[in-house]
Amino acid sequence: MSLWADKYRPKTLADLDYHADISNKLKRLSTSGDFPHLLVYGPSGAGKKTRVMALLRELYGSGAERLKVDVKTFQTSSSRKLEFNVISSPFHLEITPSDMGNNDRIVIQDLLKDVGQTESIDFTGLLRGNDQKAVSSNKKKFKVVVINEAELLSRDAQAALRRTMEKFSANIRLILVCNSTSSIIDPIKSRTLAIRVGLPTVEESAKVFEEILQREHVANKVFPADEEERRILFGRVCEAAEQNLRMGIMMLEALYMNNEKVSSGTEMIRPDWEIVIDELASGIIKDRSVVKLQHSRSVLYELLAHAIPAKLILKRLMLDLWTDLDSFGALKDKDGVKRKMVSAASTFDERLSLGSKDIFHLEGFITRVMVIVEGELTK
Amino acid sequence: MSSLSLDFSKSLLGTGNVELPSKETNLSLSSIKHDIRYSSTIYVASPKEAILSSGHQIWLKPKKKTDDKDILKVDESSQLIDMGKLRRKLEIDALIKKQEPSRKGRFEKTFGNGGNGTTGNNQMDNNRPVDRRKINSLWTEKYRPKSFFDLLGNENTNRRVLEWLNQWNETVFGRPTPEKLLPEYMKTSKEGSDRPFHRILLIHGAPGTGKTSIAHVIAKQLGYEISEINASDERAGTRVREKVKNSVENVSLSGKPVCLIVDEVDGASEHGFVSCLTDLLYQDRKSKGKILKRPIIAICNDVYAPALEKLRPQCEVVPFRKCNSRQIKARLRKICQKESLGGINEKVLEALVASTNGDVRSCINFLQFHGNECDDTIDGKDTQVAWYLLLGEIFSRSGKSSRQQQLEKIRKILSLAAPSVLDHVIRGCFNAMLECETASLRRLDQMSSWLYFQDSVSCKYMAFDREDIGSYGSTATMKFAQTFNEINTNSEQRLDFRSRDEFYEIKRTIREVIRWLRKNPILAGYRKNFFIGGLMPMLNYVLVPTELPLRKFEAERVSHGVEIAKSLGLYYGLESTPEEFHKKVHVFRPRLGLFLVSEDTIGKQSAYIERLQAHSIREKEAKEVEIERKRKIEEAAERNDGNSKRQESTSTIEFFRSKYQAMTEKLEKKDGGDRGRGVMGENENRIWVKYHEGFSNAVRKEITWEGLFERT
Repeated sequence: MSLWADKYRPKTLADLDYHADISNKLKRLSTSGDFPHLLVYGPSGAGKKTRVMALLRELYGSGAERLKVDVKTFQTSSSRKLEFNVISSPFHLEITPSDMGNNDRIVIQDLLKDVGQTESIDFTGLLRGNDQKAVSSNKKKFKVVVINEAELLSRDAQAALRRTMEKFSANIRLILVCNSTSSIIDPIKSRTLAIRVGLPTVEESAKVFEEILQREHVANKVFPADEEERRILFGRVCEAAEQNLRMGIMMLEALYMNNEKVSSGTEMIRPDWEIVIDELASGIIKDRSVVKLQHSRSVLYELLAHAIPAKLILKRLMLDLWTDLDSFGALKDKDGVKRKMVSAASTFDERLSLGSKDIFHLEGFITRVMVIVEGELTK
Repeated sequence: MSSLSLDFSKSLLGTGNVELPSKETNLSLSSIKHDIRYSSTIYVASPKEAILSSGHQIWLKPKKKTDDKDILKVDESSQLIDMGKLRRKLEIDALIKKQEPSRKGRFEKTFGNGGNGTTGNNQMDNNRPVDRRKINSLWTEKYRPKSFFDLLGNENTNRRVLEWLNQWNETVFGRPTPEKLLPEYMKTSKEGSDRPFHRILLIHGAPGTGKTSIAHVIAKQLGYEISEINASDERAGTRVREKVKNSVENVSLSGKPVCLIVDEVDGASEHGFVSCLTDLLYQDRKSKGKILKRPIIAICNDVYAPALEKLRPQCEVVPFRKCNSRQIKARLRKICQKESLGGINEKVLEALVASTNGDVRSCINFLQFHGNECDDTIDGKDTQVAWYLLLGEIFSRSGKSSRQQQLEKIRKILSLAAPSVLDHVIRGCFNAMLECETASLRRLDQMSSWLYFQDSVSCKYMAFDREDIGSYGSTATMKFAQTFNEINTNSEQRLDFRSRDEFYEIKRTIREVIRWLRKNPILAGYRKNFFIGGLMPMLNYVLVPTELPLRKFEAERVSHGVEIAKSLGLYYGLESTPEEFHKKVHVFRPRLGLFLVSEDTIGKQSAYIERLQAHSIREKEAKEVEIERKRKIEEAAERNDGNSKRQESTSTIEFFRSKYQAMTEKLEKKDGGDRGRGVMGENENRIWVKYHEGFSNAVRKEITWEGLFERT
């Protein structure tokens, strides 16, 4: 646990730095002994998972932190074997069904039924030892299943989940973790208690950074001593990380590892694929030609080869184009361009979902953008 | 009603013409009948009468057993049997039988004569290569490289295999390996330079790139006897263990040492097989007595197959890439010359190499089976070659036919094509479309929608019947043909259908790395997007600074990096760079550096990673020293403690011997010494000592107590 982001991840509900109201709610929930299925949602890096893990710890004690990864195999209807990673502790399971693509339904059905049909034996007395008193009153006979990236569950999988949630509610509690609830079907929303975890504010993030640096003595010396300078620096880290706290902490760590001395003006370290896309976007707007298209094709191939998801590329490209347009003189005030561009992005996003050849559609998007910009300029 | 008698035995000859020539119908039927009747009685006594549905009456004769030699019959044009000819034929048969040893020569001679006699006779010309094939087996076997210099492909790669095998020289043959062939680590390592660091060589690459050939050639050249295990052999654990053991530990009958070549390892669904190899390596590392003394070469197509997961890190991995088309063409040309295939020109070879994607084996196969007839025109059935040529057809107007005709031709071919071919074609279209002169942004934008259409059709292909959706498969390609079909002079140059092998390979590697990393509970919980897009690049920056060197707090930073690497379960390793096989760089295992899009960092990372490794080793050594020290202290304490006890019972045998002696002495005293030889007298029951106990082949062997003691 040596990455700062892991090392200083709060372990208990009491340790959580911000969103005190959510912590209190969860605390109350855990003391009541039983709780409904949960739907924890919010942007990534806000601390959803941290809160879920803290809640589990609150419920089961430190035993919930002894994680291991099992590889389970499932068989599809076409008798193809699938391997699937399940993270588990004695008290809970954690799965990411979206890893399986369209076969997620099978995972949901098989795994949850499997867990749901076996009654868990109450080991809490044995495992908790000292604070046995606290547990004995409320027997937690259920196992918790955490489902990551729940918004990526296919319709089928969600439908499969829907009845399971009720049928096996005696043995299973589900915690769905997702970024947004928009693609979660209503029946599931109605069966769960939704908890939104928002991003920390810049001040809250800065506080977390500060705490980490206080505990890392060596690193602390690398960062500026002046409070005001620190504040500016932390602000910039937050901005670069898009307020994603975990990303921010990693950036902070990267800053420490890469610089002799960090000042408020030190250049931020960002994932290089983002920089590549930044350059690509500004290039597209300035030079709209087939030659540029050829160049961008090789860039796209490079990005895809490095396993960067096509949708992520598209999203990033769209956002970069958006900001680039603002600084592009001729089109500065034309809202129509942006509207058309977003519409194009959504079209090609759909194509990415329905098709299988990512490169076709990413290049298609770039071509479309070029056509839009060109059309607007010649008007 | 006419009755015709047909000689069925003749049709069995394979060359006979069963139909009656039309001019003969003019002759009087009865005379023919008579003739045939007469001739048929020579063969069989009683033909059977049969009436066809058309009302014709025919005579059926029982089949006559025929000889292959009947093929020698020269004149087949006549329906009627000439008795003189028949007799001549029999004479020839007899002659052949008599001169059995020189039969083959006669065969050739006969054919030669036949060819000369009927000049321009197509049938005869075709017979010749057919026959040679029978004798010479497959060309792919015939033209398999025989020596190192015959090998195609990247010389660097070839040499690497050679070097690896050469490094075994000392262990196997007892002669030292030439100094210059030794890599750095072997010169310096403590273990000595007797064997390469990785005991197994794993060659991987696409089919037809010469993996098996190189292994065989080099092993043979260096004086090994080859023992091959491939997918056709049974490879279930215990059985193969015997075979591997045999070949690795024993010397072959010819006296040469054995080199084990394990072909098609990735196809081994039996897990026992790979685990057998890993066990071997494990023993090699653990116990001094059981070291591996013979080289093992493993060959596979897919190095990332799950079955190889355990084996891969312990092997020297040599990737085989496709050889360049110039080399392949040169080789094919040579074969054409040898086989006197004059009709193959440069263009055909070009098309062949491109369509098989550099698979030499399938190129040669193609040549063999199509012989002189292959040309570069598109043949609707030969989709293997066709897709590449089809692209040429789509993107460039041929002067010969009108636009409409050409489109029609393309449509016809496409309607016959298999889905995989369509996929190839559409990819090819995509690759080529930017290079068209008429390509404008607007057109390309339009085409991207068509590409999407094609993509979605092919995605849904499995969900529908072929009839439902198959007919739409070619529409996008047709649109390409309509839009970009243009008269172009330098078409050869423009059609660049680059294969993206490299692209796929990196992708596969990364997928594998992700799979591996995700087995770590710390990393498994992250969202995939964040994992790839955020965590991994940042982790790279955290572990390896981009700007070096950093002087301040260097030790702290290094130890921080080491700690992170340890917590994530990363290993340090050496890997060859893609450009130069000899240059080894230090990397993390699995390759974290792959997550950086700008890969030029590899060289920079190397030195630093080496530092991290050195640090972690130092740490580990310090720990080991500590453990060792503790162990020694404990041991010393123990020795002091039980010194006296130990000497008494150094071994069980000593123990029993002393007991036995004491016993006999006692007995001898009792009985007055009349039994000198042992405790048991002749008449008493003997004690049987089981020999080879616990095994099915256990034998009972009679041994005396003394014998038992002496055995050890």
